[in-house]
Amino acid sequence: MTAATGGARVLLTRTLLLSASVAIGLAGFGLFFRYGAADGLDVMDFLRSGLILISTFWLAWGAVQALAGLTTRPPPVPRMTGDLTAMTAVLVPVYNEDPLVTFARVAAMDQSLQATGQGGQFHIAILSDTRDEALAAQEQAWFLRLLDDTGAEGRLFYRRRLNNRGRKAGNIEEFFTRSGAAYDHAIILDADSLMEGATMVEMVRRIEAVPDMGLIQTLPLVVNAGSRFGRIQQFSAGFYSPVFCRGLAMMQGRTGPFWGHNAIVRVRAFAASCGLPELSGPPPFGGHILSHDYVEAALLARAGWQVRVDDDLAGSYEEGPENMVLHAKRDRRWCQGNLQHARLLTAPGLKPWSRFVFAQGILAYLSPVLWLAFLLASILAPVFAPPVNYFPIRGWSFPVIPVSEASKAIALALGVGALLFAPKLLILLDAIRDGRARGFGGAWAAMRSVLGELLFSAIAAPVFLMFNTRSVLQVLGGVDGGWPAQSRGDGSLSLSEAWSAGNWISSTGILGLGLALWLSPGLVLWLSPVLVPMLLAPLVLWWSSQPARQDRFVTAAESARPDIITRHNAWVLRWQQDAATAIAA
Amino acid sequence: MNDLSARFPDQAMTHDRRGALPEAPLSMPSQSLERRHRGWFAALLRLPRHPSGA
Repeated sequence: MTAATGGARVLLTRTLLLSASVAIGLAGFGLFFRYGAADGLDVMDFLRSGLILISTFWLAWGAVQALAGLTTRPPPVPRMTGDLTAMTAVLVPVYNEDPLVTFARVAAMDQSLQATGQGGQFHIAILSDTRDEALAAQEQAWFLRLLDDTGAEGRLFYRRRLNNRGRKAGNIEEFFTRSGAAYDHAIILDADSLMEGATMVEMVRRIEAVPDMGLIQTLPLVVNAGSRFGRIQQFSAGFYSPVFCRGLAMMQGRTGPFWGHNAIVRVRAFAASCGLPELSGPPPFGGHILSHDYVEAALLARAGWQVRVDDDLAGSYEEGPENMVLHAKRDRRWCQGNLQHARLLTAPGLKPWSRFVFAQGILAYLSPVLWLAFLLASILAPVFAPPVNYFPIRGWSFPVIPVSEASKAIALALGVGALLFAPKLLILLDAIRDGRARGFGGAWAAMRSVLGELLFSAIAAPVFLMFNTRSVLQVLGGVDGGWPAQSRGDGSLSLSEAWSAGNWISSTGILGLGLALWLSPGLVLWLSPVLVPMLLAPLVLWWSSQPARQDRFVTAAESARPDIITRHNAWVLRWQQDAATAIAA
Repeated sequence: MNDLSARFPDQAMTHDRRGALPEAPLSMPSQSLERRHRGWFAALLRLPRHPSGA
């Protein structure tokens, strides 16, 4: 395919998907407007119809991406063959992590790279930003152990910054400014990333084959989840995400995404284009750029480099949060980062698609707030509604009973439900049809997992909606979330921990229920799918954080354990046994 | 601490110099991302003001 036909295909896909989403949003607007107008128009009808327009557009935008992913295949990508000649640095930024588990990943990836026969072209650099002195001392000790046990001195490197300027982006930037000229490419990972050696070699082959390729992003699959929430998320990422990602890949053109890790960058391109400034003014809108990855992708595209997500690159893994509270904490950081992008919407020289991606990231966090505003406006609507006029026609002495337009509201509710559930059900059917479901325990097990995930999503959504709304209000109120370390481990919450994390959601639910009973008792049944999970929020948080049966929500990475995970587990076990022996002695 | 620490005083290395990163500096210039704005819009969104002060 030529660049011109590729560009035309991308433009056509974007236009089709955007038009379809806007049309669905307008249909939602129209239905609700006619429903609201049945008893006379008031300000709340205009407000609610507007909120429905934006919210329905947003749901439709997700749904059409899944449809695009299901119905298209990206064109084959070029790759170089033969022995690698380029030098690649694999960067592992760490920030107050467990050194044993983290360095075991490094040992496993080094082993996996050596097994490809191309390992000599790769170095792995552990870039520590750890602030805890005791952990830092452990890191240094474990690094020496890593060198001794792997015999990889000269391939593995470690350094710790004492000054954490620029956080993770600053950590990577410091590496480039200090050692970047020694490398052609860099594979940027997270502390919890794992990648097969063969995948890293393939990434180098692909970036080498296209001279103006600046970055190739992989789709990392979540692994090693143990809790109910973790396993549901892990299943969701493994089962649905590849299809959504393929849809995204169809629209990306030369301006694909960067998700901050599990990606390869061309060092020369990244160094020349991605030095991040500090934004003027104080956090949360000024200061360091928090969600730096989106900005770096936009800067590469601005400088003329291609950015691409290759959804077919297997062997790329990460870990996810094990409970809803940890998920909400991570989301708080992402929320601040995405809202900060409002400052960059007008940045000079960006590609229009990059600006759209910023706007999309902002809407991802504003959309739940808009849904909440819609619900609140619906409860308050009777206060603003004009009295029903049974004699609207002058001189006509018979009363005119307004026609009920409740069917419009029901149609809208069904439509919203379809936008939420249909893409996932279609992905299930597709997976059963093409045999992909076999990796997820077979057709029946995959069906059970999808239904379980849909049910849990419906229960968890109102709880996340509240966490999301609080994050947005905090950011808009000028509260900086800082840079908390990622909490890892089993993530199990006690009932009292769940209560202290979720009781404010229950209290808000009680207020909402009281308000609805007082002003709009007819709405209480409609609001129950939102209000009941809110009232039970601490229980939802507690239940979902508990250890799960490992035969539920099975993923492909469990049906056939990837080599890199087996290697990592072996290193962890070996070092844990050694550490236990040392303590016993 | 090794001799690299003298050049990079904000860096802590491993104690015995093993695993120190190769020195191969590369320039990474800071990019321009902020457009200067004028008037009430800038004040409302706390955007960077145009040098003219408008």
